[in-house]
Amino acid sequence: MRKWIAFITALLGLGAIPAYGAETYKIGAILAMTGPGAYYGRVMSRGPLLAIEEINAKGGIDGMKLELVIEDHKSGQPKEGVSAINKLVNIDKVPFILTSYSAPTLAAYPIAAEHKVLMLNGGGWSPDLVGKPYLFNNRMVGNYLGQVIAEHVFRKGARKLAMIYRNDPSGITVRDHVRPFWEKLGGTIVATEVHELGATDYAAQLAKIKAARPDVVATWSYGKDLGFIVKQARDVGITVPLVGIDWTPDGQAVAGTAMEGYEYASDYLDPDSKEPWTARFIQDYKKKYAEAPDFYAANYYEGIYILGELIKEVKQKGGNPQSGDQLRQALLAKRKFASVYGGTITFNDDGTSAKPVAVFEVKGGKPTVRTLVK
Amino acid sequence: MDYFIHVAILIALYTILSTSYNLLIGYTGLFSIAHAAFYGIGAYTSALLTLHFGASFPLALLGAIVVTALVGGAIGVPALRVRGDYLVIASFGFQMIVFGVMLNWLALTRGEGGLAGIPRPVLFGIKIFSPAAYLPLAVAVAGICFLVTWWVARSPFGRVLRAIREDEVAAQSLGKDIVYFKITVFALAGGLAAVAGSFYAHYITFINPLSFTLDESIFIMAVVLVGGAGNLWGSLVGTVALVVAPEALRFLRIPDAIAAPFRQILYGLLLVLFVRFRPQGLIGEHSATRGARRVPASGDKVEAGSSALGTRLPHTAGNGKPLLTLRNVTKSFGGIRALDNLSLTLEEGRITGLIGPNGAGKTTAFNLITGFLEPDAGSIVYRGRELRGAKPHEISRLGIARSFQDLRLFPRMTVLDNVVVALPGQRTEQLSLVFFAAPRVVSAERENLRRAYELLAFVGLAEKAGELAEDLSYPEQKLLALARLLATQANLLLLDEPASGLDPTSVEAIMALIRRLPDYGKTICVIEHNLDVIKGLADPVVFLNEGRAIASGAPAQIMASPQLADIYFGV
Amino acid sequence: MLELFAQLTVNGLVSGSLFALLAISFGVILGTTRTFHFAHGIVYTAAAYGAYAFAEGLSLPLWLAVGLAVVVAVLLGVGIEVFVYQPLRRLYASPLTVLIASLGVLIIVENAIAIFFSTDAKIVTGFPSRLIVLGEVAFTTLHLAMVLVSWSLFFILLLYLYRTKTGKAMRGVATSPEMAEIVGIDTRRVFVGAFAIGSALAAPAAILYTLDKGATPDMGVTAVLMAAIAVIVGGVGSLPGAALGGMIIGLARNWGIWLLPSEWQSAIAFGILLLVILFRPTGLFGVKLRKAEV
Repeated sequence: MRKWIAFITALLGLGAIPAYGAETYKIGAILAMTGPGAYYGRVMSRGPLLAIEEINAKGGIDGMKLELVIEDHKSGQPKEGVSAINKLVNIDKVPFILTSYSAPTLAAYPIAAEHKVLMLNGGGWSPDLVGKPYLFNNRMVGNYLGQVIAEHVFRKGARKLAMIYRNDPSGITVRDHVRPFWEKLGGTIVATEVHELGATDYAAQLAKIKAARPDVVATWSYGKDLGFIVKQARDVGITVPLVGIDWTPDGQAVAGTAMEGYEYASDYLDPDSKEPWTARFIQDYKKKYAEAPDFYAANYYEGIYILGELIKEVKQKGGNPQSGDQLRQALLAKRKFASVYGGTITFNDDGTSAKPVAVFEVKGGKPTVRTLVK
Repeated sequence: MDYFIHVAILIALYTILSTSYNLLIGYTGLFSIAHAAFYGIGAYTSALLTLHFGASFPLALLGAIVVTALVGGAIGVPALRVRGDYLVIASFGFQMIVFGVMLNWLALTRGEGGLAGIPRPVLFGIKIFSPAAYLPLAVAVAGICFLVTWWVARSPFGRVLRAIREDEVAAQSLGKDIVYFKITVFALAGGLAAVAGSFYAHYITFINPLSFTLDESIFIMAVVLVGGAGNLWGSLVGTVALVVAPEALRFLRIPDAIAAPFRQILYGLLLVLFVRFRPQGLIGEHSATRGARRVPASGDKVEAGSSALGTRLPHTAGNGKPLLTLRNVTKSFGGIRALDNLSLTLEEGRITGLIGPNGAGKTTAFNLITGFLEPDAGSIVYRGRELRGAKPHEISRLGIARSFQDLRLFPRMTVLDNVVVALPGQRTEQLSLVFFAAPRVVSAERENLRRAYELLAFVGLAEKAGELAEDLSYPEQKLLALARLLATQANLLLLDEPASGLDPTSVEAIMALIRRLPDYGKTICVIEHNLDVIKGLADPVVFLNEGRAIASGAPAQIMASPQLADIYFGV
Repeated sequence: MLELFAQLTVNGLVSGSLFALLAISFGVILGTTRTFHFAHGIVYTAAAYGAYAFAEGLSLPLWLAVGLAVVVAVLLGVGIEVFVYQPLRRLYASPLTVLIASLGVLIIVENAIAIFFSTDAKIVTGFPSRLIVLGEVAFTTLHLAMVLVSWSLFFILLLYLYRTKTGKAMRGVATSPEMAEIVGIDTRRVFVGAFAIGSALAAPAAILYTLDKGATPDMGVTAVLMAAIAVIVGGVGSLPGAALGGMIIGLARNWGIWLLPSEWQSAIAFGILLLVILFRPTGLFGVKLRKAEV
C-alpha cells in the first residue's frame, strides 16, 4: 500500500519521500544493473551489500546502520547517470556515491561537485576520471595494467604485437600508452583492430590480425567481449598467446577451453590469500552468493569500509558525517586505508590510488597468479 | 527540488521531440524510426560548434538546426522511392548508420567516451548554470517549437501533409508536388529535433552515442502513439505521461535488475494495446473539432457567375476545338498490350463518353493522360503541349483533373478539407510563406473556405461540411469526389465511372450536376458502364476495345450497332 | 593480403548462408501474407533462448533441445499471427498499424527474455566443433554445418512450394489473395502455415548462431533487420532473390572490411540498403514496387 502512495505522490510531484531518519546512513550507488554490462552491476552491488551486512551486524557505525540505494545507469548511459544522481542527491540525500563506468560518472560528476557529494569509482578506467576533486578511484587505471602485461610478454620473448581494443577513450588510452612503451622496449606493432562494446562477432578483426602474423595478441577489452574475442581467435586459427588486462567468469563461460593459457594483468585479488581479511571476504562472499568474488566486488566492498573509516574520522573531529565535503577532507587527510586485497591502499591527490597488481594465467578455467608486481 | 525541475526540463525536451515526430508520422504518415538520429545530430553539431569553434549557444543552436534540417531533407529523397513498410527499414538503416558514425568517427565524436565539458549557455551575459535557471529557457524553447509545429500543422501546408497521408496518389492528382512536401517535412522535423538535441547537449554538458539509440526512437514513437498521432496536444499529454511514469517507477522498488526491461515492456505494451484498442491515442486527431466547423457567412445557394466554379458562359453547344488529342498511343504491361495505337480527340466544351468492355484500356488511358503512367509510344497533346514525361501534379496544374473509380477520398479529413485542399494556387502551401506571410495565410484561408463552401453547396453537401469523409454514405462520397474535382478549377475533367454503385435517384442527381458543367467552360470525358448515363450525358461517344478506338459518334448511333453490342456484352 | 581475402571470403560464405536462411524465413511470411513481421526477430531470439533453456537449463541432449526450440519458435510465430495480426486485419488496420503492433510485440518479448534470462550472452555447448585448417584459411565444423543446413533448408522449402499441393496454394496466395479466395483456398489457413514455416526456418538460424557466438536478448532486432535488407536487396516476392540477398550481405560485410576499417562492418549492410533504395528499389528479382497504384 505504501508503494502505491509513494507512486502517486511522485506522479503528483508533491514532494520527496522523507528519509527514514537519523538511524540510517544512506549510501548511493550508480551501477550497470541492466544492459550488456549487467554482470558488473551484479558483482559491484554484491560487494557493498556484503560489507553493509557485516557492518550492520556489528551494530553499524557508532550505532548507525548503513543502507545502500542502488540506481541503474543501464550499462553506461550518461542520461541515466544524470537521472540517477539527481534522485540520489535530491530525494535520498546521500553524501557518498559508489559509481561505475566512465561515461555516466562523467555526466553525473558536475552535479556531485555542485552538491559536494563524494564519489568513489571502482570500475571505470578512463583517463578523464582523474583529477576531479570529488571523485576518487580505487581501480587501477588501464594504461598501467597494459604496460605491465606488455612487459611481461616481452620478457618471454615476444616481439610482434597485435592489439584489439574497445573503440572508446578507455581502450584508446591503453593503446596509446602501450604502443610507445612496446616500441621503446624494441618490439613492433603489426596490427591494431577496434571493436564496439558488446559486439559478439569478431571474425573480421581476427582475420586481419591472423594475416599480420603476430607473436602475441593483446586485447584491451573486458567482460563478455573478451570471452568472445578469445574463443573466436582460436576458431579462426590463431595459435599464438593471448593476453589482456581483464578477466571475468562471464568471459570465461563464453570462451570455455579457448581461455586456457590466457594471461592478464589486473588488480590483484588473490583467491588463495592467507591474509585474514581477504580470506574471510572471499569465504563469506562465496557463502552468500555461491560464487567466488572478482576484484570488482572487492573494490566496491572495500569502498564501503573506506567510507566507514571516513565517517568515523569525521565524527571523531565532531563533524557531520552526512557532509560529502567533510568526508572528502577526511579522505585527503587520512589517505591510507586497510585494503581487502591485503596490505593498504593509498589515495593520491589526483584521485588515483596505488594497489597491488599481478599477472594472472588462466589454468583449468580459473586464474592463477603468475607473478606479483610492485 | 532540483530533481523535479530536471523532470520538467525533460518534459520540455521530449515535447519538442514528440511534436516534431508527430508531424512526420501523425500528419504525413511517414513512418520513420530514426528520430533519435536527428536528435543526436543536433546535439553533436551544437556541442562541436561550441567546443571546437567557440560558438555561442544561439549560434550553435542555429548551426545544429541547419545541419540537421539538411540531413533530414536528404533522407526525404530515399523516402520518396519506397512505400510505408520499406521506409521503416530505410529509416532504421539511417538510424544505425548515424549511430555507427557517432560511435566510430572518433576524431569527430570521441566515440563512446563522448564529448564532455560542453559549455553551458550564456544568454545576455548570464551563464545558465543551475537547473532552476535552465527551466525557463527550456519552457521557452519548447513553447516556441510547439507554436511553430502547431502553426505548420494548421496551415495549408499541414493540410496537404494530411492529404498525402490519406492518399498520396489522390494528392498528386490534385496538383500537389509530393516530392516538395515530403522533403520539406523531413527537413522541418529534423530541424526541430535538433533544437531538442542542442538544448540537451548544453544542459547535461555531456553527450555520447548511447543517448541516441533505437530505443530512444521507439520511446518517442510510443509517446506520439499514446498521446495521439495527428494531434499535437496529444503529444504533450503523451510526453508528460511517459516521462513522469518511469521516473515514478524508481519509487516502486522494482528490483533494479529488471527495472529497465520492465519499463521497455511497458512501452511495448502501450504500443500494442493502443494500436489495437485506441489507435487514435489519448487525444484523437478530431476529438476537438468533430462536427463543428466555422461557417462563413455566405449562403448556400450557388449564384450565377459563382466564382468557385469559374465564370458561367453563355450556352454554346461546344465549339468543337480539340482540347486534348491522343495520337497512336501504345502501352504494354509485361506481355499484355493495354493500349494499341489509340487515337482519340476530346473537343472543348463537350462531354465525351468512353465506353467498352472490361480491360479495353479506358482507365489506362486516363492514367496515361494524367501522367501516372508513361506511354510506350505515341503522343498526348493538350492545348498544343505534349504531355508525355510530365508528372501528375504538373499535369494537374495545367488544367486536367481526374476522378478515380475507387474514389480515393481523404477519409480522415473533413468534407470541407477534402475540397479546400484541392483548390489550386494556394501559395501558402509553401512553407516559407506559412512563416513569413502569416497574415496572408489567414486571409487566403478565409477565401478558400468560402469557395469550398460554394462547391459543396453546388453538389448539395453543404450541411455535411464538418463530417469526416469516411462517415459519409456512398452516394455522398461520390458527390464529394466530384466537388473535390471541381475545386481544382481544371478545364478538362476525366470522370472514371462517376455513377457506378449508385441507386437510380443518386445517378440522376449526379448526371444533373455533370450536365451543367460545360456551362462553366468545362470539357468532360466520362468512362461509364451504365449506358443510360452515357445516353443522357455524352455526345460524342468513343468505343474502346482491346486498346483501340473502334468507333466514335453520336450515342444513339454507337449503341444501335449490333457488332459493338456483341463486343460489349462479350458474346 | 591474399590470405586475408581468402579468410574473409570463407567468413562471408558462412555468414552469408545464415543470412540467406534468415532472409527466406522472413521472405516466406512477407511474400505470402504481406505482413511486415518485425516480431520475427523475437521468434528468432526465442528459438535461441529455447535451445539454451532446454540444453543448459534442463540439460537435455542437444538434438532434443533443438527440436523443442523449433517447436517454441513455431508456436510463438503462429501465436503472434493468430492473436495479434488476425484481429488487426479484421479491423482493416493499416499496414502501419500492424507494423507498430509487431514492433510492440518485439519489444515486449525481448525485454521479457532480458528479465527472465538477464542480458549477458548465453552460450550453448554440446556441438562437437573442431577446427578445420585449409592452408591459410581456417573455420570450424560448426561453420560447415551452417552452410549445409542453410542451403538444404532452402532447397527443401523450394521443393515444398513447387511440388506440394499446400505449397502451391501458398504461392497462389502470395501472388493474389483475392484470386486464391475465389479458387477456394482457405487463405487464413495458408497464412498460419506461412508463419509456421517462416518461424521454423528462423529457428535453426538462431540456434546455429548461438552455438557459435552466443545469444543475447537483442540479437533478434539485428537479425530481422538483416533479413529485411536481404529481402529488399533480392527483391520482394522472390525467395531465390532473398537467399541471394543474404549471401550478398554476408560477403559484402566481409569484403568491405578488407578495404575499410573493421569498425564500419555493421554500416555496410545499411549502406547497401540505401544504395538499393536509391537506385533499384525493386531489388534484383523483385516484383515491380509500383509507386502509384492506380
